[in-house]
Formats: sequence, C-alpha cells, structure tokens
Amino acid sequence: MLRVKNLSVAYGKIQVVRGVGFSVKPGQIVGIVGESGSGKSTMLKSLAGLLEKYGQVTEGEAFYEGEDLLKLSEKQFRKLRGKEIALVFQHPELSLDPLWKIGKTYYESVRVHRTLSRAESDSEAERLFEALHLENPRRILESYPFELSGGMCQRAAIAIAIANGPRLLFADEPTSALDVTIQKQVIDTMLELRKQFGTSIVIVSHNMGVIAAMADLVGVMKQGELVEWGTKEQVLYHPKHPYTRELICAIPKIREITPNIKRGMASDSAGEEGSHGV
Amino acid sequence: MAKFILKKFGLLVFIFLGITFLSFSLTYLAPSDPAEIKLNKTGVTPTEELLERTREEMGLNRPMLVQYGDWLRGMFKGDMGNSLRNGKPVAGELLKALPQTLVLTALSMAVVMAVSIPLGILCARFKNGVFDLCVRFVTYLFASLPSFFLALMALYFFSVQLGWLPVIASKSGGKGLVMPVLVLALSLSSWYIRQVRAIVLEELSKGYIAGSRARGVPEWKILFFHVLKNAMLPVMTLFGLSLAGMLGGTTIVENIFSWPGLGKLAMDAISARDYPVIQGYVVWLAVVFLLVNFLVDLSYGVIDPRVRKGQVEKK
Repeated sequence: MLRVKNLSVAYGKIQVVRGVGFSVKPGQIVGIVGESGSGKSTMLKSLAGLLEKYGQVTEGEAFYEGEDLLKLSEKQFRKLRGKEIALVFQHPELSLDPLWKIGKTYYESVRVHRTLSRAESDSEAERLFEALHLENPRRILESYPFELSGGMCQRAAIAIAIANGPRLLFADEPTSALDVTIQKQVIDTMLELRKQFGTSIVIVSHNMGVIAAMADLVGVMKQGELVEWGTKEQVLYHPKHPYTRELICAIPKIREITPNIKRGMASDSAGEEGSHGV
Repeated sequence: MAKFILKKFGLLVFIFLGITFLSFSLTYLAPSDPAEIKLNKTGVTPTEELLERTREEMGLNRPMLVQYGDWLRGMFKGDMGNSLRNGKPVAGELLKALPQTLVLTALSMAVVMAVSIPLGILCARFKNGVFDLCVRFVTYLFASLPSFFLALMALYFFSVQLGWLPVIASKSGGKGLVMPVLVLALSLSSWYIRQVRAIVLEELSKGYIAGSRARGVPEWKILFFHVLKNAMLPVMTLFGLSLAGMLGGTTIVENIFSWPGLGKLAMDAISARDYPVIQGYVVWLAVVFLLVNFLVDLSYGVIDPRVRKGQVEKK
C-alpha cells in the first residue's frame, strides 16, 4: 500500500532523514520510535507533503497505490490529503481552528472532497463518533475545541481526520500531550478505527508503551536512520541493534521498584533504572 | 453576556469619574487664574477687588470638590460652562467641531482598512517576495516620515505646484478633504500594513494552519476563512486605538489644513488657556476612549468564543 524507499530529507544543509525505507500493508499499524530529534516527525511530514518551506526531500521514493508521492505537485497532494491520507497531530486543540465548532471543522473537511449538506455532514459525523465510541456526539459537534478535554479533543480530531474514509492515517505523537490514562482511550480509538474501517496507521512516537500497545511492525529511528525494523515481537523482545536495547531499557519500570522497596534500596536502583540502560 | 456587558459598563463609569476628576484637578492647580483671563478678554484692567468679585461670580472661591460636583452636575444636564474666549457654551463649540472630525476620521479609517488589510495579507502570504519587499520599503518610508512633513509636501505639490487642490481645506467642501484624508491614511496605513502582515504571519505559523492543510483545505480557504477571522482579534484592538485617537481630533493635520475639527479646537483652546473648553475636550476624549474600548471588548466576545464563554463560566 505504502512503500518508502531510501527517503532522505534535509533542512538546508542538515540531513534530518537518511535513506529510510519501509512498507505498510492494508490494515497494518506501523510504529516508528525514536527520541526527539531523530527525524521521525520530519519523515512523516515529508510523506504528507507538509514539510516547511526550508525542508527538502533530497532523495528517495514513496509509492502509495503505485504513485510516487514525492513527485506529486502541491495541488495533486492537496487532493490526496484528507481523502486518501489523513494526519493527526500532537496537540489537537492547536491543530483545530479555535474559533470554529467541531461540527463546522468536520463539515469543512468533508466539503473539501465531497458535496454534502451541513445536515448530512452532521448526521454522518454523529454516526462516525458513535462508531468510535465517543460519548454524546451531538454535544461534541456543538463544542469549540477549548471546551473539550485533551483526550476527547484528540479523539474528535481523529474522527475529523478520517471523515472522508482515508485508507492511511499518519499519527504524529498523537498521545504525547495527554495523561497516561487518557492515552489509552486515544489508542483504543485508533485500534477501533483499524478494526472497523481497515485503516492502515503509521504512528510516530517516542513512547515505547504506545507503540507496544498498537503496532504490528516497529521501526526504530536514530539520527535520521532506520536502525531496526521488524515485527513488534522481534523488535521489542529480541532487539538486534544496541540502540533499540538502550531505548527499551530506558523505559522506567515502575513494577520492578516494588521488591526493592521491601529490601529498602528503592531510591538507588530506581534511579539507575531510569537514567541509563544496557 | 448581559452580565459581561453590565460589569464592563460599571467599570466605565468609575474610570470616567477618575479621568474627569484628574483633569479637573490639573486645571485647578494650573498657575493662571481663569477670572483674570476672563477680565482681560473684556479689555478691563482688573483690580484686586474686581478679581475677587469675578472669582466669586464664577464660583472659584469655593472648595475644589464642590466646584467639581457642580461642574459634573452641569455636565450631565448638557451644560459644560461657557468658553472664556468668546462666552459661547462649550457643548455647542464641541458639537460644531465634531462633525468635521467625524467626517475626517470615517474617511481616513475606511481608506486605511481598505488598503492595509488586503496588502498586509498579501505581504504575509508572499513573504520575502518582490511584492512584499516593495511594500515593506514604501511603508517603512511613509511610517518614518512625520505627518506634518507629508502634509507640507502634499500642500506644496498638489496646491502650490499643480494647483489641483485648495490650501485651506474647510473652504472648499469635498475637494478640500482629499489632502487631509490622504495624509492621515498614508501614515496610518503604512503602520497598519506592517502590523497586519506581522499578525497574519503569526497566525500562519499556528497549528490549525498545518491542521487545515492536513485535511486538504485549499490555501485560499485557509487564508480567508481561518486566518482572516483569527487575525481580526488583534486587528480590532489596533483599530479601536486608532479610531479613538482620531476621534479626539488629529491636531497636526487639522491645523495644517485649517480643518475646523476637534483637534484644532483643542489646540486653539490650549493656546488661549480656555479652561472650560479644554475640560470639555478632555471629557469628550474620555468618553470616546472608553466607548471605543468597550466596543472592542464586546467585539472580542462576539468573535472569540473563548472570551464569551470564559466570562459566562466565571460569573
């Protein structure tokens, strides 16, 4: 469905993404992990044609349904965005117009690609919200982004993103701005999306837990390169690359502290656990 | 919303009292004696006795607070006292100058908005392009030149050299308005274009722009439906400030073109130490600033749901 080959992106003279390649099959969820600044967001933006002006794809191909995305004109790309490829960002309340109600933004998204009346758009939105288990769809449509909680806003943003039934969803740190308990709801919404509509998802995150909960395939990025690629089981439980092992070890393991407390060594080992690994 | 308006309005009354009281105190503390000025105008050389009597007639020997109270009461009845220069009621003098200033303000602000909003948006959209650079150069030039210089240059070219437009604006109706409006609009638009450009650039960098692009919304729709509305908030504030300032009369331009507006009236009153007129002018200024700010606040509530609902929730 999506096949990326040897993708390189540069900001000016600085190479941010170097020769990244991976592929996504229909209905698959691909997780890309890496620390901040590893180029994962930039890679996602370049695949959606949303690089800032000073960003430049220097090399590579990205075939979506047999068409090279990186060769599309801005106009062709615009027609694809929202319809075939959708995006979700880290801060939902910032990525939606603060002066527009959710229903209006939803309607705008729909109108860009299809001809519908506002009433049809509203009832379609309600059905979609319900399908994704968002409570009280009518109220959400009538709300401004600032009136919704962060988690609800992100789930509404996901619903808006898939309003036109795209087959591919790019999610850029979709849970990183949310509380841990809320993250689960957003992850569930995305899993529900795949289950019901067969949407493929590429999720980029620095959070191993989120990737582990969602992804089928996992890629690890370090300084612009994809250093490891494989199924979730391979990458998370049998990592080959030392950097992947470091990343996994860097996850704070709260449960393991408990026995240490009993032995009265809690502070020492907890500190070691969190700061460095291997 | 009603509570929001009521609260704002209550605050206005207090601010109004504060401003008029302060300005009243200032004239009270000023070294020159209104009684003396009044007598000098009549050509009588004032003796000490006569001065005393006149002060008593004018109520100047009473405590300041009593005088302020009297003046305030009179003002609410529409009586702001009489001018020391020509003995006419202050309210009438102000009302005579007001339409002149209103015409000048309305025309200038209309030109400013019509020019600077589209140009500012275009500059921001094509940032660092040829158009943007040209506009920025020209606006930089005109924003730096003081308005009296522009006014004099305009007078020199259009009236003296070309003879197209009259030197004294008030004597020739519509044609006379061209230059004052042009000069006012030119300085102000230059500043506005730069402000609008900055505001739009700020908006364009916000997340909802990327969000809209990600949904496939065309650029022109983003610009006209999203950016324009969001940019309206800061623009309204600027607009309110300029509007209030201009309604107070544009002293320099009105004086150069001999346009009989409030700015000229105030200038003449100040040079003649005509206290009741100055006082009346201050009241007008206070009313205008408060009213315009009030309207701008209201417009915020209308445009921005966060302001509107925030007020409702706080109670």
